[in-house]
Amino acid sequence: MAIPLFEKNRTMLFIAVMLFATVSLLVIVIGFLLYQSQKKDIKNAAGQQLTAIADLKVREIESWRKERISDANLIYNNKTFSAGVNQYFNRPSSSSGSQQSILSVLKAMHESNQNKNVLLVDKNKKVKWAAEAPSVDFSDIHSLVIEEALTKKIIILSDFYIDKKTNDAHLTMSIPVLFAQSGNESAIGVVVIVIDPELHLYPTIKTWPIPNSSGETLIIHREDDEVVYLNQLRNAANKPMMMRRSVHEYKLPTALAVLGVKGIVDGIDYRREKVLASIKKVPDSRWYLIAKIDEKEIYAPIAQRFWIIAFFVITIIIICGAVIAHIWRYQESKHYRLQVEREDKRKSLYARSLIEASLDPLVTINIDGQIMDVNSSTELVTGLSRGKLIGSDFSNYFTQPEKAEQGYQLVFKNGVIRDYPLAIKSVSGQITEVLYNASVYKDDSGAVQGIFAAARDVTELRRTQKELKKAHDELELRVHERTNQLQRTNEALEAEIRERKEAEKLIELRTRLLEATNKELESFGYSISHDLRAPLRAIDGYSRMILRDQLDRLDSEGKRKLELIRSNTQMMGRLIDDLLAFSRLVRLEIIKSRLDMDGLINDTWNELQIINPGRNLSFIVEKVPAGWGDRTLIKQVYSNLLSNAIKYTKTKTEARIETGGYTDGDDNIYYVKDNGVGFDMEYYDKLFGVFHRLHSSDDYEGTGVGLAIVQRIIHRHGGRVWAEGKVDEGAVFYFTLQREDGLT
Amino acid sequence: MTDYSDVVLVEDNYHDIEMIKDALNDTGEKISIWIFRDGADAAQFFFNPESSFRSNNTQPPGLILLDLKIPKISGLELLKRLKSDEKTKNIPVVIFTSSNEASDRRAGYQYGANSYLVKPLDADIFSDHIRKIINYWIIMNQNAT
Repeated sequence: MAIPLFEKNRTMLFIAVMLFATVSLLVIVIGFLLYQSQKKDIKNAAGQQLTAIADLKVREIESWRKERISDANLIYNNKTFSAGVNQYFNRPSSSSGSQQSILSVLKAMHESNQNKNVLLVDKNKKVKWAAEAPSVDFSDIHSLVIEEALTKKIIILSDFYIDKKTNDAHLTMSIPVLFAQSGNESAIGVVVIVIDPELHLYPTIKTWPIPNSSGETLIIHREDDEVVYLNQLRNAANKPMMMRRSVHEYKLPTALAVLGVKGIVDGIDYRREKVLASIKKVPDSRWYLIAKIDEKEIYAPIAQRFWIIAFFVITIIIICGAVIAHIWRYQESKHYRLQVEREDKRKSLYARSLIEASLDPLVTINIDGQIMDVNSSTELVTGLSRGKLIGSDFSNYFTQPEKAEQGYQLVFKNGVIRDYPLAIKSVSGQITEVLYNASVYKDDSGAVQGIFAAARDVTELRRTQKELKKAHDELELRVHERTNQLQRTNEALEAEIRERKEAEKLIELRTRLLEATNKELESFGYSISHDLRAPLRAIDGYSRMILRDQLDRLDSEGKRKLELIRSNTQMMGRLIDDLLAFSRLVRLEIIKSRLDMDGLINDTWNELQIINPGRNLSFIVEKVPAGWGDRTLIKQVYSNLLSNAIKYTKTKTEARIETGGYTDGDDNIYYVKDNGVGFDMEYYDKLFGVFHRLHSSDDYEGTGVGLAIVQRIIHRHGGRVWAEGKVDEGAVFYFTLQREDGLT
Repeated sequence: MTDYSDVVLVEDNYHDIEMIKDALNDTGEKISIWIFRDGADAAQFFFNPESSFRSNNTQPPGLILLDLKIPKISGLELLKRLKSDEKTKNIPVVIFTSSNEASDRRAGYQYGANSYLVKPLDADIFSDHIRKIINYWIIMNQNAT
């Protein structure tokens, strides 16, 4: 339940935020567009104004130039003036009327406030007269201007130039003096008028027809790659023509002007201020006129409008936000209320279902003793419907109504009762034994409202108890019987244990006896090796001494017999050794391991070869399965069998000895076969006996213990030994060993 | 060549003593032989401070020929004492016994015997054994010093 509520809540919040964001964005965009259109209008207006001003200024400059030219024309077209000049050049010292008149004209020109100086130069560019001491250096631009006036015979109004002495900006107007001699009119000199732009031209440019704080008009021209500012600037402490900027500073409106741009442009001026400028070319000159104004000034009114728009935008956004937040909050609280109601309903249904699920009859009773509510178990136990039960007196339904009433009072007194026994009587007369558990229930203020009582049906419990008692009694009887039986068995067992203990004692006694026998046997073996050998050694020793020291006293027969004594003592020694080895086999511990039989057989054979040199033996080892036994003892078996085979083939010219093995059921069978003298199967039973021999020891040396040892070793391994033989045709000896588990 | 060497023989069997003496004779070397018939006598000689061996500060014997099965103090016991005494531990001890038991052989070497030989039955081999023992432990040792 909680997760969808949270999800829904989050979705609602998301929608509210998105709505708010959309409305805000819309308002901001509208505000921005409004602001932009306002700005554009203002800019257009400012541009128009600038264009008007620029036009006005250009017209003023044009008219100023025209005035200058028309002034000059007064002299230029004046024949009398020309004649006077001619005379003055020819006789400068005379003071004729014509001379006086030209000088008065020139002086008058100087006095006019437009002109700084007036000069008269001849055609060789020599200054013949000057109103003031000339400061002009004719070597530069002026020389060219005068030259041009002389050759072209027209009035030349020069560009601005810098007077190198005063560093002031000037313009000059060169008026050729034309004089006709013998039909040819030629320029005999030039009147040079030096114009000070400060007097009239600059003020004309500077003045603005409307009040403003940043408006400025400039005239410029291009010198090579530079823009030269021809007038003094409003916002820079330069002298005219002293400011120069590269034409490649494309943000400069002046640079744009010299590059041919006309009309309204946005740019950054020499102060690095954003400006709006109008560019015009001044006709008949190299000049450009630029009227510009700072954007700041243009947009000053719009700034105010911006704040007004911004104020409205923010206000609208806030109002929208508030409305949306309010709606969302309302929705949320409504949603929560629904959730809580649903949860309450669910809880109440859950509580009701718990009550109904109870197998115990549950009932609430008010302070007047009337039933307020019951569950279905109560309906079942009383046999009455819920409708009939509610509102009736609770004590009606018990076999002892007064006892029920007492219990009811006890609950009020103590607040609770536990396991109060009563019997409910149904309408059909069925009695149900119950135990009552009840407690008071209170309202919020703590006042007792009634009783909540739960009855536990104990009919089944009582019955079970009775049955349990019966079962218990029966069990007790049976336990008693079994105990008696056990006791009898126990007695029998004890008797058996006693018997067994006696038997064990007997076994222990036997074991001890056996151990003692073993020990005796061991010490017997030790005695054999030490005590029996000592006399033999003495016999041999003395025999040797006699044979050495008293040889001269012995005849050949005595000597032979002494030799026989000696050989017999040796034989006795070997018998003792073999017997000892044989007897030891009884008590030897057998340590079994996996045996590589091929290797074992070959090792044994090689050792036997060393002690039997010079025999022509053919030895064959067939495939032999791996064995499972005591390595040392099995090697002893092979040693004995193979040495027997070598021994009993000594009469054969081609002795052939063969070994091999194969698997037969749980056993491996190994064999050693020879083509020697063999044996008669009639005496087979003596073959494996101790000291039993089937051949004379004169023919075949040996003690007759070898095969007995083989048999004992194999028997101790749990295997079998047998042999097959035929006189003069050889013998085969077989023995078996158990296969190791899983050994193939 | 040496003219005089001591061999101490610890042996109870009279016949073996006879044979050893005979074999020593056969070597042709001038060897004096001290014979003790039981372990106690031998111990008395080697370890009693009043014995001639201890008190006279005589030169120790060149070899001890020791049987294992001797009365009173066993050969192994005597060997152990000889090899743990400062004055006797450098005397070579050759065990010469009739026991071919692996346990005896192991114990002999463990207690510091310089050699372990089993008395052979064959008198020729017996004599040869003695000759070789003398050769190795007396003659060769003296040549070296």
